[in-house]
Amino acid sequence: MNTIPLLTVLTLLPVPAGIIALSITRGKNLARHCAFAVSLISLGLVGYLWAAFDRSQGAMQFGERFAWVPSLGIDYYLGIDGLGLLMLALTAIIVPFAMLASWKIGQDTRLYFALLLFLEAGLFGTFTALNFFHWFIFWELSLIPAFFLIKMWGGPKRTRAAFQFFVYTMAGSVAMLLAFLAIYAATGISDFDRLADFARHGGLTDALFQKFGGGLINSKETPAILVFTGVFLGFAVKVPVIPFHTWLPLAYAEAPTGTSMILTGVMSKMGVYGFLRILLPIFPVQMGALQTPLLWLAVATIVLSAGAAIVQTDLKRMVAYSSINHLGYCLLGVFAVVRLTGDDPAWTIEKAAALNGVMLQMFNHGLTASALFYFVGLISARAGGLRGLGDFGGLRLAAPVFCGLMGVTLFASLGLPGLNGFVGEFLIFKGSLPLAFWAATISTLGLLFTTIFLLTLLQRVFWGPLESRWTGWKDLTLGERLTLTPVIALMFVLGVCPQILIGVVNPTVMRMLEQF
Amino acid sequence: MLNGKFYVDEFYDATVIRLTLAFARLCHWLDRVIWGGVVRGVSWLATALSTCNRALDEIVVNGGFDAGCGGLRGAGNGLGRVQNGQIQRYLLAIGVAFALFVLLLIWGWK
Repeated sequence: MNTIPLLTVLTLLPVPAGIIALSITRGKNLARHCAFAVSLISLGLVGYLWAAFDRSQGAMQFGERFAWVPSLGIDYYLGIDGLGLLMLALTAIIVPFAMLASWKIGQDTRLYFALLLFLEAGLFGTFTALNFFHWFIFWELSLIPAFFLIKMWGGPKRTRAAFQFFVYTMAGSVAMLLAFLAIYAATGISDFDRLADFARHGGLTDALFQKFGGGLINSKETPAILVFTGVFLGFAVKVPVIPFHTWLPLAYAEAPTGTSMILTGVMSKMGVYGFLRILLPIFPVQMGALQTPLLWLAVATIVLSAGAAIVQTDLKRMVAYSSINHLGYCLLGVFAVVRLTGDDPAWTIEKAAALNGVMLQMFNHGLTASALFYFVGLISARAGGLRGLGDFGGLRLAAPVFCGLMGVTLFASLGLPGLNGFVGEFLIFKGSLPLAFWAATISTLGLLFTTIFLLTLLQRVFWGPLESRWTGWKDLTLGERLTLTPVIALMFVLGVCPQILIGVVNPTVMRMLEQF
Repeated sequence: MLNGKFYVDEFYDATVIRLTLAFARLCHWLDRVIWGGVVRGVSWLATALSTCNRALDEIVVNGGFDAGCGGLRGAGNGLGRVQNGQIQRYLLAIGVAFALFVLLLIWGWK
């Protein structure tokens, strides 16, 4: 089965397809169809990986390893476990969804769709690479198409938004690169799993102190804490963690709808993925030592972003703050499990619940948040660019299907039982409450605020008397309903049968905890 | 009292809703003024440092280099005027130099 390097094919397939889409001169439609067809082929490939994935083990599967730069010990090293597979599936679902949402893009269509494909390749590469240098290339590559997508097709403040997005993320990445160069200089290792093994036996702290200790750095822990902080900053900006989030509301609000969907649906998960794939296995001791400030950062991210969302008057900014809030729950789960509790199985169960919850939340939030941005994009397109909370009212009367499906998405987002958003949040709180009682208790305020602002959105836009200027408001077209059907269906299916996802990620979680 | 439904709604408005809104406004203020302010501060600092760097480059480094070049050019021009091919001028210069040399020797002997 492994004779075909499936992960390489999956990662590289969108690149030539993007070049072909770019070079098509026979019309925009062909470029659109070509890009969409390739994104569906990618979805099919991920479907095959999903079916062929061995759910009985949490180890890496579909591995590929070749010497890349032998003199430096850098390998081309790919593989996926449950977490990687989940992120591939999310990417493969959201990208065609975003393409359909961008179908009416008229300016430089070929370039737009080519950039979406390049972005997809960057995301696939990020979620499959297991060697730092290899992974970092894709991590940075995904920034470039996103920058141009915001810069060229964004709203009136697109230049500032794209610049802030790029510079902010780059600043975080530079800190992370420096930290990894320090690790490499001290250990000569750049594979994530080997680094995790090395760190587990205390080797990383010792090696960093031997290399960088002395002078002002006289504590054995200090170099490892400094290196951890550098890597943490890279991911904290990407998630983002408050106070490293100020780029996000502007970038999400100014980006075109399809790009906002990918930014919130997949790219924001890159940060949480980094916490799970890199920080937790390689720096468990440092995370344990800094658990209290990390938990407070998670609480601040959850509560302050939800609070800020309540007073937003721009629909896109409101959904953007909601996105920060939802990813805050993932941080709470990740930071709660670093509590050092020994081998007591009771704690292991709580940690497993929290980590399963984090992974489910990543997937479910990707679905609901991208659908919410799609709805806001449709509202804005129908209203001639308006998207203020006070611009609408009573749309339910003119567009009942629109109201119903957006209502389902909003309820999924606020975590209504029976819909997908509930399961992840429930598991995160189930695990976090015994592990980090105060942080989890205060974070429940975020759940309350989320309910307030999402219901306010529903009420202000869809309920009340219909404004006369919107009497001709068009309900969802057949194409829009077909676009939304798979995503809405997934919200119900995953809400009722979360086992579909848990079955894939739980072995990975248990393996992570064994090695923890 | 019964007519006002025990003023539950009024109580709720005055407490929960007012508190929530006040907290939400505080969060928004933190976002705009504090977190945004820090980012704007860093951005301002980076711009200020870049401006200083540019000024240093243009005034001190380039300015010093330009002044040095100007001086060299001026000295070259001056020397160029001395070397004009007239034998009388050369003889005069040699004569003056010789006289100075003699004076120096005499002064040195004393």
